[in-house]
Amino acid sequence: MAITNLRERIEPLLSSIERPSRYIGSEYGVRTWQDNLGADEFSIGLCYPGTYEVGQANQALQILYANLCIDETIAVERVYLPWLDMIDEMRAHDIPLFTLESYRPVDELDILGITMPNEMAATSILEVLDLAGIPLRANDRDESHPIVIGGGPCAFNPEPLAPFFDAIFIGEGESAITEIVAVVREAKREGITRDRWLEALSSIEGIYVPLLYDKSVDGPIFKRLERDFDAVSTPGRIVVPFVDVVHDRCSIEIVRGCNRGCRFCQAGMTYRPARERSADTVIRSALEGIEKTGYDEVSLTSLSSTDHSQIADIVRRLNIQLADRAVSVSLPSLRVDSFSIDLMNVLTSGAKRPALTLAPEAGRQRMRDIINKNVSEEQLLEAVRTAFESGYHRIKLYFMIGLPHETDEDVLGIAELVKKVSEVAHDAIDPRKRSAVKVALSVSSFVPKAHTPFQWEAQDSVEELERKQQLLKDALPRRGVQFSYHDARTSVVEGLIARGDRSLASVIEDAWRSGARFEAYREQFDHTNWERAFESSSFDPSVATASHELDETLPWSHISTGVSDEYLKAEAQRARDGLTTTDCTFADCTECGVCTDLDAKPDIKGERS
Amino acid sequence: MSAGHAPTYRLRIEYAKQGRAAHLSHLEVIRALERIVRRATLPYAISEGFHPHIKLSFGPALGVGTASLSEFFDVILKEFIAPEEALARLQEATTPVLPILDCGYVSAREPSLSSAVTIFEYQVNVDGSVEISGEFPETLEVEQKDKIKQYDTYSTLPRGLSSAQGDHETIVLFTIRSSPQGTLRPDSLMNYLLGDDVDTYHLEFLRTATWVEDEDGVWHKPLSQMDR
Repeated sequence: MAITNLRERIEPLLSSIERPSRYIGSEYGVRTWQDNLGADEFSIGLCYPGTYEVGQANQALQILYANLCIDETIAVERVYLPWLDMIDEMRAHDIPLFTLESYRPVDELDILGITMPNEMAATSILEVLDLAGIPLRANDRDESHPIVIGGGPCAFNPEPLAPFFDAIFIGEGESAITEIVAVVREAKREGITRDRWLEALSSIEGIYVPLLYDKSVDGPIFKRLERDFDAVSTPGRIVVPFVDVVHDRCSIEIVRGCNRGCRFCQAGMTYRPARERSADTVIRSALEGIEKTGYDEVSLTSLSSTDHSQIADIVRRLNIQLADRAVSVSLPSLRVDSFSIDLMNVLTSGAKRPALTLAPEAGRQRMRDIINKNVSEEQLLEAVRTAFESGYHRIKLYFMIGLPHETDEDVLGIAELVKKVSEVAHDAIDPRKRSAVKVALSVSSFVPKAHTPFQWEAQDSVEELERKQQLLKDALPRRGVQFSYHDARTSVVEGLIARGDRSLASVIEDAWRSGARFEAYREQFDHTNWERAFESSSFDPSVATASHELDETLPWSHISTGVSDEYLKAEAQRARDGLTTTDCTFADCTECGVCTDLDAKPDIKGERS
Repeated sequence: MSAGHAPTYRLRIEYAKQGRAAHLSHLEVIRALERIVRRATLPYAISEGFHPHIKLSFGPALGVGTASLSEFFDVILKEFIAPEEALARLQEATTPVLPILDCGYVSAREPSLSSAVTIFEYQVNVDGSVEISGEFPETLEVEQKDKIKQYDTYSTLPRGLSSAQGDHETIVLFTIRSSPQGTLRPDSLMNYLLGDDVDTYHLEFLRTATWVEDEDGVWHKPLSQMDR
């Protein structure tokens, strides 16, 4: 089949829209489409349901892109949602959503993979499908449409979006992506019907096909994972964007998974067990990444980077290797302790200190024990003292409100702790620079997530969250503290999608028809779209945000992360009792079940301390 | 050169901005070129201070939407490397839409590209047949950024303007001289020429050459054969 090239229709639009470079592709590192055109050509599009600036930075899509490009007989294409001005132009000129590599209509691809990065991207996923001219519901598609496959963090509760996908992949996709392509390619070559393609797909471990799955007959869908993470090749092919994207740097994933067991954290449950890349692998990959890309920054990413057993060694060695190259090393997700600050000091010696970001999450010890955030006030204040003594003058603190079992005292405890941090910072800093001290406080609202010990808990209402925000605001010092918080209405919609069942799909569709899209962009969220959707679908959000019984069948019960129900229930009880649970990579096994269920084990290269 | 400082070398690099790269902004091009220099592992010098960076300098900015056959930038190297070797490495490190065309060393005493390059040749492709007059009044009045600006025609358009009218397209050629008082933008000139009809056409802007003008009014390429 001839491939449609929309170039001549797209290019004239580029001179009249904002930041046209988002739509040109052609970056260093892309594989050009001419390389692989042929009669036997098979095409897959990897889509982020947001703009290029956010999507191109997505590490998971970068990995999948690199892996797919190894096979020269596959056309691998990237797809992003154009910004509002471009969408308007495209609709006005009847131009469908296109791929960046070959400017072909997305509807002509064999597979369209869409990542489900966060709950607030739900309506943008519908915008992608609609702009591509693909029927929204899998039921309405035929053999002429691409197979639409979802995946990513929100796949762990696939139900609210299930009707819009032909298949949803659960877990880590490195090796699965090539299996998926092989199976669909073979099925299409045989020319059989769409139902049979889906049937073939459903045989792949980790694939959930909503149209074919029968809860009463089929067993749970287990997530896929890379058991030998250190052996998964990195960095692979990297696309270096022209556009100033978020996280515009070379990212090397140093640990996958985190076993700390914070009870609110979905990633901490869904990406178990923790697996490290060895110091040697990290150093080699970081240097290769820098040389390949020309970036001036390498970021050592993970859910908790300072937990890596060889992190001090890695930081020391990278610092020596990268001296004289004007390349900086960044370490996101710092643990709250002075060890982390010492590491940061090694990384930023001689340079200007960046703002320090720490996440104590709760103000009082009681609450930190409930959420199992194993950080004491002493550790936090010691970290702050070390930092401000060594030249830092800005700190950003992350907290949550609306947590289970929270009282007003706990909310006010945040203000108390912030005051102490501020005092310690002022005492520790060079007295001449005291006026430069800046404390910023970012407070998000707790959203109960599937597969966590808090999955049964109620979510605070909009009114309650706003009351607590005001309570905290009034208790904070009037000067020297910058306070920001999340919009409570957005958090409630996030909560609905996070724990919704399949009935939510029509609510999401109604909200999108009302105009909801780009809702992950704060200024684009308009709650009236949802209020209209609740009304037209007769949906009561207060029922959906209420607590669940422990013996209830939850909408995501057919998806398994390997973590057992018993463990989650025990953790929910320990939270109620104010008991903490250790991290098995530092102490004994906590019997979460993932190792037995998935035949995996934590892979720690040295000794964690 | 002050005592105690190692000698440095000023390498001038010629590149083109073509194809889809026409839509890049000046800042995006700058960032891409820095990454090309890094990937080429040229022995670049690093500035001192809190934010160490590569020492790069660029010629006058090219607008978003404008392609170019010949642009220049300078990079300071801490070691000498043969221009052929540097060129080969840069070509290996770049992407097809920003091809590296040439490079050579220039004296540290020469003025910066941003002040030295003052002559710009353009070609504009109009997707329709239009008759364009090469006759101008002595003073050109154009709207630029919502302001009326005046330019001396003879000085600003030293070679006048020529055009070729086809059945379905028109090609317009002109050369602009910038001055410390201001620079006539090629899109402003096209707006002036096409008047209210400008929105009915799609225009493609291409910078075809840039020149350094010496005291005697002679035009030189920013990078000459001798520099290599």
